[in-house]
Amino acid sequence: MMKLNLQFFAHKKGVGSTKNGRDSKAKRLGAKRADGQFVLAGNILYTQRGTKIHPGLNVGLGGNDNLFALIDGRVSYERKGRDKKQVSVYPVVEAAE
Amino acid sequence: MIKVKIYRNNKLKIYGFQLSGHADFSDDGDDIICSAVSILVINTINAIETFTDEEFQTDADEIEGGFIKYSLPLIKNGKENKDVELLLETMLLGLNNIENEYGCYIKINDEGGRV
Repeated sequence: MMKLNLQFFAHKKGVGSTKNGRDSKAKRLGAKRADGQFVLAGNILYTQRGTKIHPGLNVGLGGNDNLFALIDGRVSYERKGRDKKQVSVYPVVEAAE
Repeated sequence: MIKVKIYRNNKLKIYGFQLSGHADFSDDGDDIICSAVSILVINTINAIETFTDEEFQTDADEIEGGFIKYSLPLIKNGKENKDVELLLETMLLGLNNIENEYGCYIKINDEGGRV
């Protein structure tokens, strides 16, 4: 007797069909404080991978390449050399009474 | 596409058939054409073995599927067997009806049976 295989004349699915890996979550990198904005020491100014923006005056570079303010002050995005950018924080000078 | 060959003797009685190929109607497990053809053919082969004492020869790729060659040597040589004839013509009736509806997935080559 022949075994009753209802899919005897069906194409067998390919073995080990590949599945696309899932995409990683968007990290929402980029500027966190705008030019001219007042920030406090420790505020993160810019999140990035590598140094798209370099640390300028009073700005530190974190282990994950994030830029953060070292002092309270106002943010300034500037050119650095011919084709680079940097971000600095300048202390706010209170107007003399 | 499933290709069907029907073999008839000089009295135009079916003495064998060959089916090859895959229906390709859908994936394995969802292919309704394949399952319809499979049940008709395999059940006919098993019915002849179960309900008649006719001698037969079967060549089938039960691992990969997609190929069956079946023949009844004594009927090829002219022996008459009404039960076997009825079972084979019933199978062919079903295959023809499938071809009428799903002609892109099954093609029947019946040497001389149909007018």
